[in-house]
Amino acid sequence: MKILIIDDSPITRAMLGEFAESAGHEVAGEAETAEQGLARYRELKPDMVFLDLSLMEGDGLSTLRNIKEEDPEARVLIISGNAQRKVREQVMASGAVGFLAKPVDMESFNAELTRLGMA
Amino acid sequence: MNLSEIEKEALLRVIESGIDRSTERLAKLSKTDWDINTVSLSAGTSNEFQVLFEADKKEYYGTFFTIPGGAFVVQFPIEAGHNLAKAFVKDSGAKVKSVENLEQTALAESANILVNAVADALADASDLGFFLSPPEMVKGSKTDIMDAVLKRVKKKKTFMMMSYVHMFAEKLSADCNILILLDDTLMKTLLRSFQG
Repeated sequence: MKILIIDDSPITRAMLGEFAESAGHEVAGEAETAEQGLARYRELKPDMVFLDLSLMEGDGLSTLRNIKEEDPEARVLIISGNAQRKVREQVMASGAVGFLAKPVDMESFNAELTRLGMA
Repeated sequence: MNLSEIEKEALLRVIESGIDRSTERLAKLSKTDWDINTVSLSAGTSNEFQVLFEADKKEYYGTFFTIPGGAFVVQFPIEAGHNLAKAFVKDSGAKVKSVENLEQTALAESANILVNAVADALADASDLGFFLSPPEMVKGSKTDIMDAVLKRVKKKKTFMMMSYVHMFAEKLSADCNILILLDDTLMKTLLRSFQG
């Protein structure tokens, strides 16, 4: 599957990229801001987006809503350190396919991919 | 704003539950157990807090995050930061290890994960939701770090509540401090929500 990783942390983008590739997926692109993320989504049309909630210039929740508005079929998995109950409710109500709290290790990552039918 | 003993206890309880979550997250990312040895809560002006830090001239990696009315700060002593960053990327491959400014980037992300655990506890207890700003890093003494934070939140001379936490991992020879700064308005909102 083609994956787009949107996260302001380069180390997290690299880690998630390694996890995804070891599970047999292709990292089609990366972005660190909300604007770049939306642009990369339009350009790449990935099968799955890994999206952080804390982004440079913008936030992940608005990015999720913008992506879903443009493409209601988009599959977006939120991967964030912010695991507040209210925020999780908002992201799930906005159409995310799941929520993974940081720190993410290989085990929790693979368990989530299995749940999403991507293993 | 003077807090009653009951209000202080309520706030400390929530912060402590957040710190417990922080140590769990830190243990997961560093693959080592962490312990907490101080959690305190004090009121004063931001300038008064600065005085507390003046005696410590050591250099730290400081990472801070702001929310309207407050800030979360993590201070890693340089050597401890080095050890934590090494542990964080230990099992990673070449892609991770070739990230530019690896040590600082690893510490910024560790701090993000740590303070969000405390923010989660405050938000869940008050049924509020808030987003932290992206991390900002400062290398310097505790007063240098605090200066940068206060400049960003524009709270010089403002009356605030500060929670100070110190945690350590013996096996990793690492420790860190977390500071949580809340101004009067945010404090009132939180306390009202806890009671509600």
